[in-house]
Amino acid sequence: MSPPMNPAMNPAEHRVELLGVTKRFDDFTAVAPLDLAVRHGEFIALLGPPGSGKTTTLRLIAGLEKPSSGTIHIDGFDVTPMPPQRRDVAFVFQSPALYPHMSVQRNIAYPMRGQRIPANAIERRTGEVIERLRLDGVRRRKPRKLSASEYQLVSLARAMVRDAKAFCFDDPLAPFTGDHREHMRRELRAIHEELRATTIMATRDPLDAITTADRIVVMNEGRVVQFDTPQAIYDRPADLFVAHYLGAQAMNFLDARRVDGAVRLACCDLRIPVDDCGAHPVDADRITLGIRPADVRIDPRGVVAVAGASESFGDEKLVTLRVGDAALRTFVPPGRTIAEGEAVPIRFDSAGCRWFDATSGKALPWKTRSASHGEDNRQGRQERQEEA
Amino acid sequence: MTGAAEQRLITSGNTAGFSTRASGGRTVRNAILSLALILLSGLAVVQTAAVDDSSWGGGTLGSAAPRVLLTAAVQVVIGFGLAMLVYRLAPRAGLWIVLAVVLAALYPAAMVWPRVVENPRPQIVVWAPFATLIALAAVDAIPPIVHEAAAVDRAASWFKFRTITLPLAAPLLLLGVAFLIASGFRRPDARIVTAAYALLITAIVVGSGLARSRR
Repeated sequence: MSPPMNPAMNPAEHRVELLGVTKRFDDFTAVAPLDLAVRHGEFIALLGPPGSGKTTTLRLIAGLEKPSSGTIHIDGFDVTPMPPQRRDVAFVFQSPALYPHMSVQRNIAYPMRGQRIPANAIERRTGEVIERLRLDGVRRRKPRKLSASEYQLVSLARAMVRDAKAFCFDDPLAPFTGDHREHMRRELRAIHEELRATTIMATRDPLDAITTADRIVVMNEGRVVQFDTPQAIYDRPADLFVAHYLGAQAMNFLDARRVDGAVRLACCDLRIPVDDCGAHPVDADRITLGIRPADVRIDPRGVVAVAGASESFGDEKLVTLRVGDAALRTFVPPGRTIAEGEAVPIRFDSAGCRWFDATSGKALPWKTRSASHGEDNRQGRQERQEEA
Repeated sequence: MTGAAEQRLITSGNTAGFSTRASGGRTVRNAILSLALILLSGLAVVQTAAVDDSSWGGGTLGSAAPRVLLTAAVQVVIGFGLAMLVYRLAPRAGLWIVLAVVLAALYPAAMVWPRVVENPRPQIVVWAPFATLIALAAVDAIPPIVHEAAAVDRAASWFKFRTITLPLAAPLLLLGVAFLIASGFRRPDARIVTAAYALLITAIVVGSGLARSRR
């Protein structure tokens, strides 16, 4: 079906590449100009809230939608005008999309049928996939007799059965909850380690993205907000949206202003010398300090806060503290109880402070102590722009 | 975000499960079509044209059956072909309404067409849009996402038609065939017997459809 590819003649570095792709539905722009380059064998997560353009991006890659402008390349070939049949991209849909009249086994075998593949090869490969995903018990069942998680596994199996150029997973973990979800995350990652297939997964759950993907594309309102490794995105969120979205516990945000050589927090009359900030709060007048609960320490030398309600997450406990008119959440140290109304002295771990321009929401550039850090970051961004 | 934008988000598959709005619209449309179908079939049953046994579709159930079945078969082939063509050319257009109007106009025309009772050709012409309508309903009832799945699974047109469109459209198509056969007979008693069978098939199809939707 697909044209034979000679690696020597096709030195494309990227398996899937989107160049200035936009998608408009009537008056609604689902995908704003989007540039994205996915390397061979890479696992990419498109992370964003519902309506951020993740699904549309996947559908554009698979050919289920035509872009309003821009081009899509697979292995260096422009596939923009090609229908899905010729692109060789496997897809796991978010909605139920198994063939309702076929058994599990026939559903899984379907992508290999009608492709001039010998029947015994189809049977062997289908058997392998069924065994790999432990679907042996349901192989003769019709889709309507499957549980939601079995249904999803069969959808995954149907995508995996062939050696597609890229795999698009649209929120594949949605039907799984709790322990099962954690197991499926590991399973997805393990499958990726085995197959090393280029995978693009859309998800709205930051933990899904962090635990499975090599790199994460954070999307919001049809745009790429940040594209980097999970750790880099967690450590250096590009703006307030990413800072808020990523992490198991929401980041605390505090208003601040620049006063002479220091940053003054609005809530508690705390002045932090600019040199201690790790970022250049020079250009911005109104500043937002972002700090994760883990970086707010209970310390006798600190600013006094008043404890509010606590929430328990089983092995760890979070308490909400009021400092002036601002609210902060932090972890309760093991073995300690904090009563409501108790005065708690707190300090901020300066390494955990993230500084943002409150007007634009963008992160302030890094400097001094982590100067090399910032340099790398900027260089990396330039490289990516050149690639695009 | 505007209302239109939200609606678009839902139809582009952002909700878990089938998008309720799209399938809701289909259900309402199919319900109206089914109602029209039943009314027309009712008309066909009560219509008692005085015909002699030598006319097309005349005679007893047994003697007329070969001719009636042949007519129905030709109608279904033409109807399904037309339906696929319409579906391919304009899957979301308002051709439904056009077809319904044509059908509504053709039915009275069939009543007054003098040669219709003796001649198979007008029979086929008159009832082919009816078959098309049923086939369109059958094809349209297949969730679009199934076609999308087939597309990414690299199914070529004919292969997809054979393995997905036809099997999934079969139950409704069968129903249509039953009613076409019922209306093919000229004598009221033959019609009533076949219409009863058609209603039985309807009950089975609707029943299994209901059982299937309760997943």
